[in-house]
Amino acid sequence: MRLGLKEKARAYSPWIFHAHAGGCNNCDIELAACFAPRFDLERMGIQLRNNPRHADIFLVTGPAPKQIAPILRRVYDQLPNPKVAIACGSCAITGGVYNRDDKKPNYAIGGPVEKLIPIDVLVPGCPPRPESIIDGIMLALEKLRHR
Amino acid sequence: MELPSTISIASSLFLPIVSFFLGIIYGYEIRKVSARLQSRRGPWLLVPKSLRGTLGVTRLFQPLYDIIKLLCKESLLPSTSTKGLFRSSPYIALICVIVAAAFTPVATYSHLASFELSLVVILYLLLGVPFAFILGGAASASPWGVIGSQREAELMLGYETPLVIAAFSIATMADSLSVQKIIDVQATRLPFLLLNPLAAVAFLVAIIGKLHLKPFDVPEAEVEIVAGPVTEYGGRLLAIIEIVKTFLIAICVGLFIALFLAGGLVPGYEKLFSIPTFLLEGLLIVLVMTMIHTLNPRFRIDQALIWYVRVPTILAISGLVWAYAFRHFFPAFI
Amino acid sequence: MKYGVVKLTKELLRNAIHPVTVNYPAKKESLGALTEIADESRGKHRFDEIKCVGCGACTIVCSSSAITESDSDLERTLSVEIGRCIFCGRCRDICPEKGLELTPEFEMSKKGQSANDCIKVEHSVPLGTCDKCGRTTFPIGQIEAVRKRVNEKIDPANLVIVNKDMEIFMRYCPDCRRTASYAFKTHPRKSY
Repeated sequence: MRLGLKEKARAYSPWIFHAHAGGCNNCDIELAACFAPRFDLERMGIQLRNNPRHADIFLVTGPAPKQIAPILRRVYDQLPNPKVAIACGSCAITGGVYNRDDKKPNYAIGGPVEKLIPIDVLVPGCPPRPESIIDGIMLALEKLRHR
Repeated sequence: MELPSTISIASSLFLPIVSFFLGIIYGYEIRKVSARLQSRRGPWLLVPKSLRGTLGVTRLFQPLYDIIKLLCKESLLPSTSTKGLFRSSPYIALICVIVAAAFTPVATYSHLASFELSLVVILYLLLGVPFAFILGGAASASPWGVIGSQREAELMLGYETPLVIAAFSIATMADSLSVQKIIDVQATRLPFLLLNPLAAVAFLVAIIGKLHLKPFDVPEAEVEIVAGPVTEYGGRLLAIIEIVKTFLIAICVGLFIALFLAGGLVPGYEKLFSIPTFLLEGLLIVLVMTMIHTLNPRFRIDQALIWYVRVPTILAISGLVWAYAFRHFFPAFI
Repeated sequence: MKYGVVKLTKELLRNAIHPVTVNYPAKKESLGALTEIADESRGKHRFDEIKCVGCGACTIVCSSSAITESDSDLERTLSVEIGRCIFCGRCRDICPEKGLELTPEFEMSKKGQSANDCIKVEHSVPLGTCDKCGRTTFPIGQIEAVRKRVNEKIDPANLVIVNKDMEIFMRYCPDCRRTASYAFKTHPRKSY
C-alpha cells in the first residue's frame, strides 16, 4: 500500500515457529532464553507459536538426521507465504561436529539444512548466544519486509 | 418504530470503528501488564532511539499490526475439511460482533442503544462468537480442532448462565431492557456496582471466561492441544478471528461499564466528561482481568465447568434475588 | 492458598517496577544494562598478525575441521569457517605461539543461502623457498620460531653445533636435505 503499511506490519509482528531437527538441544535452550525476561523478544512484537500455520519465520536448529529430512520439508511447506527461514547454530549450517570429515560423510545426517529447505539467514555459534539469535532475527525482519 | 435516519445510520457505522480501536488498546494493555508482572518489558510504548528506523516509534497498536500482517498472508485450507463451513464461520462471527458493537454504548453514546430490547440483542449476538469457534473447530478436519470445539461448548455452558442472570438482575433493578435506560437510571441514583455487587462480580467472572483469559483458557490451550479450534486457520481467516476477539473485548468491557458503572457518567458533570472516565474505567477493568490472568494457571475443563456452576451461578442467582428484594423494599431508589 | 495469592501479588508488583530485561538490540545504555558478556566468552577468532606463524597446529586439532590451511605459491592461508566452528577453544589452547584468540564478539549472523555465505576469518603468512630446488617449504615465521625456541631450550653445551646444523637445514626442503645429506655431511650412517 502507499503507506507501506503492509511491509511495516510484516516487520513489526513476526511470529516464529521453532523446528527442532535433531541436535543436542542447546540451541533450543538459548532460543527459549530469548523469550525469557532477560532478553525479551516480545518487546518487538515477536511471539513463539507452536503452530506452523500461524507463523512467518521458520527457525531450524540441529543437523537434520535422515529420519526427519522429509518431515522438515513438509512442515516448511505448511507456513503460509511470505516466509523466511533461519538456520540457527553450526549444526544447521554445515552439520557442525557431526560432519567432521568431508571425504566420509556421517551415516546418520541427512544433510545440513540447506539441502532440504531454502534458507535466508545463517546464525553461527554453538550454541549461539541469545544476543546472536536476536541479531539474526533482526536481519530476517529486513528480509521479510521486502518479500 | 420509525425508519432510521441518516444520523443513526452514520453513527451506527462509526461506533464499531471506535470499539475496534478501543479493543486494540485493551489488547495492548493485556500484553503490557502481563509482561510487566513477569518482570520483563512488554511491547515497547516508546521504542529506543537507535531502533526507531527499523522498528517504528511506538508499539501501541501492536495487535493492529498483527491483524494487518495476517490479512496480507495467504490462507491455507485443509483438503479434508468441510470447506464451506470452515471458510464462513469466522465471517459469521464477524457480522454478529459488528452489529453487537453498534448496539453497545461508548461513553453513553449509541443511537441504537435506546431500542427497547437492546440488552437482549447484544447478549444474543454475542453468542455468535463461541458458535463460530465450535463450528469452525469441528469443520477443520483435525483432532485438535474437534477437542477444542468440544471444550468451547462445555465452557460456554459454564459462562453464559451467570452472564445472562447477572444482566437480567440489573434489568430488573432498572425496570427496562434497554441499555440507554439503564444508564439513565444510574445517572440519577447510585451506580449499580454499589447497589448490587453480587451481580457485578458474577458478570466480571463470566466475562473472564468469555474472553478466554487465564483460568478459563481451556479451548485454546496452547501446550495441550496445539491451538484448539483455531489450529487449521492461517492467513486471512485467522485475521478475521483476531478481529472478532478484538471486538469482543471492547463489547464486553463496554457492557460492564454501561450496566454497572453508569456508562462513564459522573453525576454532576456533563456528558462530554464521560469520555475520559469511560476510558479510565475500561483500562481499570482490563487491569483487574489481566492480574487475574497472570496470577492463575489454567483450569481443566471439568474443573472449570464445576467451578462455574458452583460459585458464579449461585452469586448471580443471589444477585437476582437481591434485585427483586431491592425493588420490593426500597422502591424509592428505582 | 489465599494467603499465597496475596504474597504472590506483592512480588508481582515488585516485578512490575524493576524489570530485568537488558537493552540488547538498542545500542545505548540509557534504560539499563546493554548486555553482560564475560571477558572469557568464546566468540569470533582473531589471528595475531605477528605471533601467528602459520604452523597449522590448529588445523590438526580442530574438533569439527573448521580451520583449514591452503598453500599457494607465495603464501599459506589459514581460514576459520565460522559456520562450522563449535567455539571449543582447542585451537587457541594448542597454538604454540599464542597467536590465535577467541574474542567475545558475537554478532556473526549473515543473510545467505548456503554455508559458503557464512563469514570466514583468514590469515596469510609468506612461505619460504628451498635454496636448492626452489619449491616452497615452510612459512618463514615458523622457521624463525623454531630457531628461537631451540636456542632457548637446549643444553648450552650443544649450542654451537646445533646452530651450525640449523644454518644448513633451515634453508632446504626435506627432500633436498635427504638427497644432499652426503654433501652436507649430515648422513646418520656415515662417519665423517
